[in-house]
Amino acid sequence: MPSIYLLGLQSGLLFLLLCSSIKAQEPVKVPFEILKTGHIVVSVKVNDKGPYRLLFDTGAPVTLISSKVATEAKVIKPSLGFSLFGAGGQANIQSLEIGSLKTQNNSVIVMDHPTIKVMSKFFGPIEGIIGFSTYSRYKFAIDYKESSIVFAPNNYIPQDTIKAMMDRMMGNSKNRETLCSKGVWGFEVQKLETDIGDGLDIISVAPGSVIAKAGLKKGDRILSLNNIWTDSLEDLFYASSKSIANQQSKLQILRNNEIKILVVIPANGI
Amino acid sequence: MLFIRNAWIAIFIALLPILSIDAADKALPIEIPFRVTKSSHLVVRAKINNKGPFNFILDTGAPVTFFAAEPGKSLGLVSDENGWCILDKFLLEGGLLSEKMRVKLETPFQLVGMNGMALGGLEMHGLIGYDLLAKHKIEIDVSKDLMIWTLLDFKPKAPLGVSGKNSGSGLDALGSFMKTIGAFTGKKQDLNPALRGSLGIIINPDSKPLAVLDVLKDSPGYKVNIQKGDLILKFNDSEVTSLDDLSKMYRSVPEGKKIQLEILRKKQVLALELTPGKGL
Repeated sequence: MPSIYLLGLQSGLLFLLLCSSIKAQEPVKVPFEILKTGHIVVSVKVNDKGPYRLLFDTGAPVTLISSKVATEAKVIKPSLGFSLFGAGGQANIQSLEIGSLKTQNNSVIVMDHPTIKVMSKFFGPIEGIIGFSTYSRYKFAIDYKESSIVFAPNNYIPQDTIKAMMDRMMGNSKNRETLCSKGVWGFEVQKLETDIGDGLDIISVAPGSVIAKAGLKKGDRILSLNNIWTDSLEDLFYASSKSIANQQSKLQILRNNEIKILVVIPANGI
Repeated sequence: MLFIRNAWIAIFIALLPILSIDAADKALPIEIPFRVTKSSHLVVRAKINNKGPFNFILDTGAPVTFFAAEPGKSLGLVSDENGWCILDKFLLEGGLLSEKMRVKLETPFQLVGMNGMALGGLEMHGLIGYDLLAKHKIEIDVSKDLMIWTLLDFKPKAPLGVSGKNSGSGLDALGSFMKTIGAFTGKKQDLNPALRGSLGIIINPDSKPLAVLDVLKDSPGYKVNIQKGDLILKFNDSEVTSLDDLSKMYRSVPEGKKIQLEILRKKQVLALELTPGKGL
């Protein structure tokens, strides 16, 4: 009988795991306050302390908390060396709750941002900023009319922006990026230096290729690929690098002053 | 080090406590392409009066939309005494058009700092702020390449001014400070990516070893006479196990380098050398 017992225990565990993962996937609605300046303020608990008012700022690469919050919430603070704006440094917050959204292991910067200080004078205490390092881990929808943001986890792992930027500033970053087409399409473009118009000229189409079958012709002008403007070769290669082989892509082309949409499935290959 | 680090943090937080708005646009739910920069900013592109595209940071921390002074000047735009300029057409990539849109024609110091060192990997030309954002429901997933904007039946209240330019907190000076560091250290990054075209070799992804299904006329593969039915064994001396694998190897070949392919054809092993193509 021990095997049945074990089986029961295991499936029980599995059930529990399943429940917790389903729960974690549920979208969470977080109400916000709009300041008279149009800034979004959310209510945030740090290590169960608070709530504090933080800005929700899509333009901020990192989440910031004030030194006051860092002290109250016992966020470890390596504070050596010269500091700017009362900045302590990078720290990790175990538990960060934005409204009823619970997040763990948030990398933050402890810093008293001067603009926030000014804003606090007008709108009451604001103790930091929710930035990319936190919000990028969620698919989120901002609705100003409802004054709410709905969050659902997306399993995205943000880079360590601070390290990446320091590397970049110190010139340690790697070679330039390569944009490589995904799949095989079968056409070539050019952009003359004198050409300042939208799009690129199609200068050849390989017979029998997927793009020939989709109807592209030499002399057409490609305006966009999957909604991405193709005004330069970089644009086209970027758009193609974001497309997926063997899945539909949408080309917007200009032929005889008429805009047409072509649907093409890039072939597998290199 | 700490000073420099904190200086860029202060600069990179595109947060501006400025003022007032007004704009008109009419649009349906729409998919807007965006990129995440190396500096972790969300960037969308826009054409202004049919010129551009220009790169804008999507910024809930900006009360209004900013368009940098320099590109503004190149378009012949003129601002009033308060720095406002009415744009006839502001077209976001993906197709969201705003007409007669009011923007601040000035360069926020954050952009000066960022562009000074080209830290984002892209030249930034402005910020899209509350005045345009608030009229839409905006769905963002940074693991995807498109965000979804849906026009709301909602007139956002005009944001009030807190103070004048950039709050006088000393941050303004940091922008030019960063620019200066950029100039001295010569760390301005090359923004142009390398472009890698296709070899024109169409492959059955389910075959093992990978089998060539077709070769496009005049492609690099065609020029070295790769044929239907050829089996691809090695790429630059590495064994090829899958198409994903092969694609990754092809993408990571340094620019200007040729490619060695080992091919099996009718019990014969052939070594071929190819140059990456210019077409897709």
